Amino acid sequence: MTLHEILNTIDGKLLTVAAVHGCGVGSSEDNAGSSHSDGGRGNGECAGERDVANTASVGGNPLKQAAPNNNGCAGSDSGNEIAFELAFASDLMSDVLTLRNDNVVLLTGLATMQTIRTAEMADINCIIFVRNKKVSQEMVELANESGIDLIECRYSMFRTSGLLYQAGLKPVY
Amino acid sequence: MQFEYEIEGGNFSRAGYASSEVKKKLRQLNVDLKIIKRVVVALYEAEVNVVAHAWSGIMRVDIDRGRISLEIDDEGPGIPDIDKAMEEGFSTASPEVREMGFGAGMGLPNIKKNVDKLNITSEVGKGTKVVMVTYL
Ligand SMILES: Nc1ncnc2c1ncn2[C@@H]1O[C@H](COP(=O)(O)OP(=O)(O)OP(=O)(O)O)[C@@H](O)[C@H]1O
Ligand SMILES: [Mg+2]
Repeated sequence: MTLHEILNTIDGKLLTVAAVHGCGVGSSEDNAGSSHSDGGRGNGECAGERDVANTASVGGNPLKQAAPNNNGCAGSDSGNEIAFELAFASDLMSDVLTLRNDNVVLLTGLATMQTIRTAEMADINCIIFVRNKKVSQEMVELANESGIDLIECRYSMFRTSGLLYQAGLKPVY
Repeated sequence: MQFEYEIEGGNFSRAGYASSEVKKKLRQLNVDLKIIKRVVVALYEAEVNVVAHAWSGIMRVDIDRGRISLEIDDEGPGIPDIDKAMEEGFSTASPEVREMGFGAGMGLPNIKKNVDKLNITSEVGKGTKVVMVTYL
């Protein structure tokens, strides 16, 4: 599933830039940004990290400077979005760190900085926060630096998992 | 190439900062992505252990052509029985640590799975030293 399909399936709200996977990065510039606010912190550093991390998909074009818009992924049908295939639901970061798979979507009710750090270490590029858990600005900034998409969702873990399972995301185990 | 980072015990909002810096370095060095993931997951587990269980620590990273060597040296309560600590599910983590999503007793076994060589030494009341080596 693409980020855009995930958002539609769970009626989720995208909080990050959607740089790496979302919204037709690399082809349609107008979709590259979303509700991003750059707290003025470490901009150069972020851009540098992104360049290193995503040279292939980004083509050296610093996404931080892409014109922001507030539409999230709405209306993007780009075939260039990276597809997510697997999902894992857990509030236990210890468990998440044992995953070997790539391209996993993480569903969690734990909204802390450690959730973002854990995703960063485990190469997880998309986190869905269920049960209406609120993501802090600090978390959004760290996620943007690391190219991780954060989604807020008001449904329970069970409902969110069920919807995504039905829509085709596969379990890790 | 060598780097050093300080780790603050108890400071969960900063936990992972050092591991994240190392991850960036490894990417700049074009280390294989699969190896980076395994190395930084192990490193992060060890960093979180200092934050969760010890008072302060130093992370030393030494990278050359053939291997990545990681050492985490902490001042803390130490580990009385290392074999026991290596068992899956064994944990003395505080309720506060569990609230952060840790304390399942999976960290040390997970480190072992992710690096080529793991050596833990500890002195009760003084501290713990975790050395991890991964060959490139
Ligand atoms: N640096 C350390 N200093 C003191 N005790 C430690 C240290 N690292 C580990 N331990 C002890 O070993 C136990 C097992 O560690 P391990 O990392 O496997 O699990 P955990 O940290 O309790 O939980 P998890 O890693 O799953 O979040 C800990 O609960 C703690 O008692
Ligand atoms: Mg641990």
